[in-house]
Amino acid sequence: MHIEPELLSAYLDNELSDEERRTIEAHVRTCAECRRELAELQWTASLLAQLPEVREPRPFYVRRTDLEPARPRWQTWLATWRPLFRVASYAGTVVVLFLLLLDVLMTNTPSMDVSMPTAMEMETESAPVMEKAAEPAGEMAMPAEEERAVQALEAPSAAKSEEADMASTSVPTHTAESQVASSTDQTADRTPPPHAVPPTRGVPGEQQSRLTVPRLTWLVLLLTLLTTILYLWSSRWEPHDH
Amino acid sequence: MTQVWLWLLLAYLLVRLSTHTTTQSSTTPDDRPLVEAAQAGDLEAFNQLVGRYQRLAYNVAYRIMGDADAAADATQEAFLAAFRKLDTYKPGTSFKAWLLRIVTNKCYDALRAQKRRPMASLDALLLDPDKPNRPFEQVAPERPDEAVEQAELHALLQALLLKLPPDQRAVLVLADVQGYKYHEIAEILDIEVGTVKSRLFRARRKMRDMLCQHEEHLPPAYRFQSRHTETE
Repeated sequence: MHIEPELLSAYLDNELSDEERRTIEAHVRTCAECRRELAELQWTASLLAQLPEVREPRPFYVRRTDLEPARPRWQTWLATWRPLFRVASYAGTVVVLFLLLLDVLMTNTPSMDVSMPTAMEMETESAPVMEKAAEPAGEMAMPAEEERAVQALEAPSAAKSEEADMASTSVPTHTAESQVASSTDQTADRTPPPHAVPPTRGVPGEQQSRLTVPRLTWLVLLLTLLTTILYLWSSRWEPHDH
Repeated sequence: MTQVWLWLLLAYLLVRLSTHTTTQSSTTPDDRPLVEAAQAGDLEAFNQLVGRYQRLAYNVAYRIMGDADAAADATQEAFLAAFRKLDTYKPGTSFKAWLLRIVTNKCYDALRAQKRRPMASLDALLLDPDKPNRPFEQVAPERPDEAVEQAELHALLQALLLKLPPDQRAVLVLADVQGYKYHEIAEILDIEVGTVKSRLFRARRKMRDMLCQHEEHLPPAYRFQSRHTETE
């Protein structure tokens, strides 16, 4: 009857009761097999005890910056694009002011009737087409390149949905021929075929023509507000300069 | 007569006071004020605790991980995690044990993540001096040949340790390398003392088998036969 090896291991660590220890000591004196087992376990433990203490490669002090929680990806995104929001919000403000000025000038200038005949004609057919036609006119008048940047950044989705909107509303009014044109080329909507626009239709009043430009102004104003909000909001995650 | 009683009372109080302070200092040196300050958000106080235990934490991590860089990462993560969840530390228990539990858990996590990578063979571990990378050992042997011998022995032991399952490895490191008692290991690893006992035995037996198997790698002075005949 041999001693359970687990007890031999615990015996090495002096983790046994006096009685168990005495039993083992008595047994080991007579049993060569258990003596060898005990010696081998002791040899193993003594070798492991030789493993020296190692020196830590660097101190592990905790810094304040380590404690900041990892930022979600959208916060990093906002922080990186912050300078662009800044430029866009300023540029947008300038553009809005310019457009408002333009609106005021156009409503008071009689030459407007000459400059915007297509817009008025188109308006009689469908409102979205007219709005789209007004936009290039506005863009042409815009000197600021920032406006393009703003639109390229924020507006593509809005502009696209607007275009899609326009395509769907304008299609029923066109002839079969122009339907093909509009489906193959989006720009066809901007300059509809002349026969689709009867020139004899009622000419709209000045009030309606004045409303065409503010639509664009509103859009730019909203985009400017959005970039301003993003700019102010993203300040919370800007990297600190210590 | 009353004077004698007063002197006796004073002596008794002094003895009580001294034993009280000594027992307190032996169990938890003076972690308590620092831990309390750290729990209140004092990072400086916590970093004093880091300074006190970083050597120990790193050594435990290194013996479990077997790689200097991986051990450093695990130790750093453990200290960060410790500061973040200081409110879960129960006052009155050993801060050291609580900290080492976090360290071993971080090591387990890292080992689990490592598992996807193929394990290096023992020969690769022993022959390639760069892999795994080893930290500086705090030993200063008398003779140069002794230093080489010891370095060989330590490399082999560390390589064999890595062949044990992580739970057995942790118990073996805490018991035989760090010299903790069973009840301390049970507290650190959050397991029963009985589990410590059986796990340690299984780890030692496996280690013994591997050492016997690779005895030719051991410096002659450390082989079982030479020691065994010496002792008999």
